[in-house]
Amino acid sequence: MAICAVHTSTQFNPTCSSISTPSKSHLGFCQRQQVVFYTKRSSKRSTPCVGLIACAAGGQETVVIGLAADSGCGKSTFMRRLTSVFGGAAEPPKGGNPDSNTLISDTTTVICLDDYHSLDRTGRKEKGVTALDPRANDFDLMYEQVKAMKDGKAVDKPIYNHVSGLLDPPELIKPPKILVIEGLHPMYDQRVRDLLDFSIYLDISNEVKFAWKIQRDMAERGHSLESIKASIEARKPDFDAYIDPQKQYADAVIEVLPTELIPGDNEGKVLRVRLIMKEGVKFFNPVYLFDEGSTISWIPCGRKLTCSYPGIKFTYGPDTYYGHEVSVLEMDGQFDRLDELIYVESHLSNISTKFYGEVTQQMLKHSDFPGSNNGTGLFQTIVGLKIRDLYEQLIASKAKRPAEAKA
Amino acid sequence: MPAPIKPSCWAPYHNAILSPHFFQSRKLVRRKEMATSVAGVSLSTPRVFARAAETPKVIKPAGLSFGYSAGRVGSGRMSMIRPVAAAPDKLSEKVQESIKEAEQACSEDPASGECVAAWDEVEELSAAASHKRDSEKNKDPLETYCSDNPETDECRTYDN
Repeated sequence: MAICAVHTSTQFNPTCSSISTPSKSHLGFCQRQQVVFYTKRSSKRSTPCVGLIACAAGGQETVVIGLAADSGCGKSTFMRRLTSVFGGAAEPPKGGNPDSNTLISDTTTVICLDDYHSLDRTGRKEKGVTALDPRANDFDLMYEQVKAMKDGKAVDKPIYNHVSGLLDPPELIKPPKILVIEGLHPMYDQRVRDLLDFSIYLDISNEVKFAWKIQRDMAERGHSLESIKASIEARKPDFDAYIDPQKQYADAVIEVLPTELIPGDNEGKVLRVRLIMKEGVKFFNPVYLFDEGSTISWIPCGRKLTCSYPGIKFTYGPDTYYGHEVSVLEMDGQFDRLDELIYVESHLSNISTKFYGEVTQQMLKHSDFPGSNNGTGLFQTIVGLKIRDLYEQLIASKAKRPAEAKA
Repeated sequence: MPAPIKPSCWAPYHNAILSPHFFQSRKLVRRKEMATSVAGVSLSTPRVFARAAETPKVIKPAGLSFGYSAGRVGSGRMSMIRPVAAAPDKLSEKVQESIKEAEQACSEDPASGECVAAWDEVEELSAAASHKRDSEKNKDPLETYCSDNPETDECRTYDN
């Protein structure tokens, strides 16, 4: 294990607009150095920073996962499911900025890419650009810092404060075993995209997005159906231009659509969810139903399993998506009872569980999260398990390589 | 060794055994029962915590210190520089204001960058308000305290 020195960098940087390398060398056997980035932005608060410097766990490389989705499309819920699969609850950094967007658990650190906004709220207003616009984001810094963490170096990452709309003093992020970068643009810049070991895109159809935002915002004072609609429509051109095209690069896409089980249903309560999995991704074997590569339509409700209205329907089969070969697993409808979920789980293959019923257990554990009774929760959980599997295979393959070199 | 929990303690939870939350919440329930008796204060009102987070010099309940404020009063400068999380009420106001501003900005020219950026701000604030509501909902003061101080008596958990 590496032993590291702890420095407070207060004396070096009174304004936090740049962080200098501590002049003292590390006291222990730390092979890694803190990486330093000069950010162009200056913070309005001239407060001193306190930093803790530490080393990457055992000097191993960090696995980087990208998650892209629009605001209000379930990134946070997905993150909570994902970190739960890895074990241990993910929490904001202890003793740090309470408005920090980072979540840390034993294995995983989730950072929010809004922290790489180059324009704060006032700046965007003045220039008339949205947060979706690449001009409002600093991709150079994003690339440098994600690259540094992938190489096992700690970084001083800015914090975008969603309450004040300002950039707060940076926080030190140590390289975790698994780094998840979530936000609007994880696959937008090619350099950042190339750093990703696995990428996911949450593709929420317009009807469902509208329904979800009504659920989220209608209770908020000042909001009305008109304001919710106006906000979605105003952001749509930028969304279509900069966010949506990223789905072509994703290794897995979770598409959320209105149900087809109830004709004309637009309520967004019953959902049809598609898990689109790219073929040929290293260490990622797509999930399948009954017979890998065949086309299957399956209604599990019948003699053995009774379901309530409108029932459950699964489809599985090969397809192409933006010119890539993919496997698509689709679930329409929702689970009303526990035995339905177990029944479905026992008929899916390649779900990378460690024991029988793990998917069901994870879904039950978080039955209070949105989507726990439908395909969004099911597929998010499965993708979480697939990422755990991918991580374990990646680490095993890296451990093997040096051993082979020696022999 | 802790005193064994009498079977009667479990009577209110008989129904809970049927719930899917039961197996994950059992430890928590037992810990809360013990902690409440140790500290002798009621932890059921979230308002106590909300106030504690806003004003650092609130009188803290016996044997407990909360979150960002009381736990770190010792290092004066650090508590000075640490901004306090905004209350959801303040965010609600901001959402309301931003909607008004957006409607105003768009009345002049609905296709302008100004109008689009204003509605984007509404979205950002609405999302932030929703996240804040979620985290407040899940914030149990004892949980917060125990995640910072897992070794204290109030936070010990016991397996049978």
